[in-house]
Amino acid sequence: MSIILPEPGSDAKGAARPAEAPIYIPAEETPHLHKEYKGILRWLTTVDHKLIGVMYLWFAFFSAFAGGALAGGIRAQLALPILTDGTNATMGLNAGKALLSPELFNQFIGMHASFMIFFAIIPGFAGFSNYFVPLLIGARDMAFPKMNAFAFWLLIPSALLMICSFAFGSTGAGWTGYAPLSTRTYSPNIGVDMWIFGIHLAGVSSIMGAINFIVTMSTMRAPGMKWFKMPLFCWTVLIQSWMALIGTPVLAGVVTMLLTDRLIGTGFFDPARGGDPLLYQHLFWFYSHPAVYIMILPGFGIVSHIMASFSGKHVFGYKGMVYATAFIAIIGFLVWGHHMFSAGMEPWLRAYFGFMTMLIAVPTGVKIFSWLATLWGGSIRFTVPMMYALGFIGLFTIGGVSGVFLANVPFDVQVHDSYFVVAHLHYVLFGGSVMTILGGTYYWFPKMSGRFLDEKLGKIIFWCIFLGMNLTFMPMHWIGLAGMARRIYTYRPEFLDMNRLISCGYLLMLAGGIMLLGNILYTLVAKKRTAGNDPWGVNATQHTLDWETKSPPAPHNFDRLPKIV
Amino acid sequence: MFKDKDIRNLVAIWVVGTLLAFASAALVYSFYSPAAPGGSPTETSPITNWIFQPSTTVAEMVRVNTAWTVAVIFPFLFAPIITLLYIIGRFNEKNNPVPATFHEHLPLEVFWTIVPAVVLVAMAVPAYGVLRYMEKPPTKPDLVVDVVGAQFYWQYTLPKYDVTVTDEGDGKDPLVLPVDKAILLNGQSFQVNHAWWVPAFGVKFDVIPGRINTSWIRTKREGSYKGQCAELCGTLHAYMLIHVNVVPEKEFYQWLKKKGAKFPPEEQEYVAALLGEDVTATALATSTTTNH
Ligand SMILES: [Cu+2]
Ligand SMILES: [Cu+2]
Repeated sequence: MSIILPEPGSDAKGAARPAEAPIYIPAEETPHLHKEYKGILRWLTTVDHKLIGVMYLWFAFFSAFAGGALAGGIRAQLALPILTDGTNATMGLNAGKALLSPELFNQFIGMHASFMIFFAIIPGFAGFSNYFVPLLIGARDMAFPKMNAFAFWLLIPSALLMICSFAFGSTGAGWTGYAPLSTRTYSPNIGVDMWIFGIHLAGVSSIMGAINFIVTMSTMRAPGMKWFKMPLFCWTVLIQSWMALIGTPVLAGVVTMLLTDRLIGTGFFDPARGGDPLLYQHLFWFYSHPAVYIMILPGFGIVSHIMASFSGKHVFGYKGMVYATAFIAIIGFLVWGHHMFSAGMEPWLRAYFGFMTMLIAVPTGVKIFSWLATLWGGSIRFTVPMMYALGFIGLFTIGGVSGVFLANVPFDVQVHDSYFVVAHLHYVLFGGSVMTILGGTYYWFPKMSGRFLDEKLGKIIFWCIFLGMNLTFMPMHWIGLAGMARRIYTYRPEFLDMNRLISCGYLLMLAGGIMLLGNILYTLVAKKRTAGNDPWGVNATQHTLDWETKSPPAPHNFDRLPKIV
Repeated sequence: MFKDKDIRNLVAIWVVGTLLAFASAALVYSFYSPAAPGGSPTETSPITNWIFQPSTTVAEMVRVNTAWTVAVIFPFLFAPIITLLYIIGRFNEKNNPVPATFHEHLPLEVFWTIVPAVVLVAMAVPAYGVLRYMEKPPTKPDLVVDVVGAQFYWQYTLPKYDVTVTDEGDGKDPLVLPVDKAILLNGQSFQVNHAWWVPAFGVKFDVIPGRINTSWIRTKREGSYKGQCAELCGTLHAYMLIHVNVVPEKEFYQWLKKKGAKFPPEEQEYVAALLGEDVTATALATSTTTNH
């Protein structure tokens, strides 16, 4: 694919104009140019997709620290537990002496997950999507810029509701909020209702974002950019948006049913009133399995760009990548039952869900092999974003393989709700999603800010996070197989050493995260803007539009709308 | 497009690496041999699991099936990782200054779509055999146990003998089961969800209000087994520990007798002969009163 930037004498629609005349930008395409404030007001009122994207990224970054702090509480408790070996357990009596009370511990695990999912990973990708989808398709902005801003600002009350719920006793039922534990009988705190409202707002935000991306990519691609000329990142965001659009209403529905059960006694999940607790699980996972792909697909897109860029090649099997992503999305909606293998279901259903889950390994394998073929024969530059992309392949492969094991029903029954599952999901969500977000941060930072993050320090940070991640989550496979359940605030003495090791891994990751925050702040404040249009020098091969405009781009993105041939 | 030498090197490293990994895994595994004689777990030994101490028929089948899964899937774990490491060493700026230009190869793409699919079938077929076995409880079990999860203890009822024990998580009143018997477990709950999980038995089932989840085991080995609740059920979830002693038949009946069992008439003679004591209802009534 190649890009033609029209001669200065003509605009995209071909009308001739003098070379030095200002470019006419149709007002309806760039509403943020209507009125421009300065300073903080500029951020508060902006409808520019780039500023909104940056706000999403900051929001995600700080949420990741909040979620990470909660994880720190969990790891501290598990490194210094009051042990129980079943012979001297004295029930609630020694609970008060623990670092975290069991109530608080359960709130921590629920909020850690809620924060990381709804406020760190999903908005993190939303940030990149907002910033780069319009750039990559050669558009001036999103299709609905005001709705775009609204979707972002909804996240603030959503996060506030969840944070404040701690003051009222937040949900102790985990992020999954299984009924009946989350019903009023067993969780009377209004913190649970606040958590539900928080999910509502995050859900509305994510639905708005999804609609916006679908419409933007369907209608605003630059002239000549056919569907199959759209860069892979856009494809993954498009498919992710469809998933969010289909899945999120179901999540909103199920938490609403829980809310009405709690507040007005509808009894959807109460067997005494004709309800069924298992219904909650079916509806919840109908969203929450696809949510896994909502949280990883844009990452697939990001690493595809990074790997092609720094190996000096094109992405291998572009169309195969698109089809594989779409196939993952479709199958992703048909496998939710694999979270419920021990919950009791028809024998043939267990067989079906197991089979479909294995099937997902096929397109996922296609993606991994295609990435490797992208790298094969390349001339790799080990920049920091590339290191995250390479690390991602290794970690995501491990997460994928443990996922195949979990599709094996007899095996899954053994490790379900054990630390094995905790290990698996963190290899996918940390080794997958977070690594790609960090890779994307380094890759596009020069474009977004005009400045380079420090490469040397970046490598140190990478190794802290990469090694810390493995130190934290690899031993979890083992203690899970050995019989340690998840979501417990104390455990048998035989798991003590491993848990302390795991907590050390956490400290390593924390060190990496703090250095990264410091480096980003320092770079923004103290470094000069040096980045040109194509700061990494990759676009001679890549021909993507993000590198065809200034760093950072002007509010209207392109002085002349590009044409794709 | 692909330089033959690189492909050959890679395949050689992959084959040798995979074989080495399997060999060392087998070595480690045999080092921790599960079938060590006299290896019955006691009350003070660490928790046991289905990998090293499979103690039911299901657990044994899951162990074999998992070994098979490892054998077919792990080469696919090593393949990308070894390829990645090879690429890092071989195709970097220094060793390969001019990047290749290929970005398509249909036969290759078809190949890596089909091969994993075939391997997955090889993994799925035996797994479904185990699944069928797990899901077919014996029509005439030797013993039925109703397992009730509650906040925060486990209650077991043996309806045939009218015996109920409560495991408060402290191991003082464990469930006792006879060895080498088919046991049907009916899981129920009347409050919130829990999950009954004993790793060495290869069994886990959620207990959910409004339904009965059935599972079954055939005990194979004596010993004290440990498990715990595996579904978040509230503040003291961590303390819902499970204790099960698997004992010879005679001890099992002694335990029943101690618990004040009402032996069904057709069993009384057999039990009396086994224990050398009278276990009719009247005899038990007197003996329990005198014991107090
Ligand atoms: Cu899932
Ligand atoms: Cu529990």
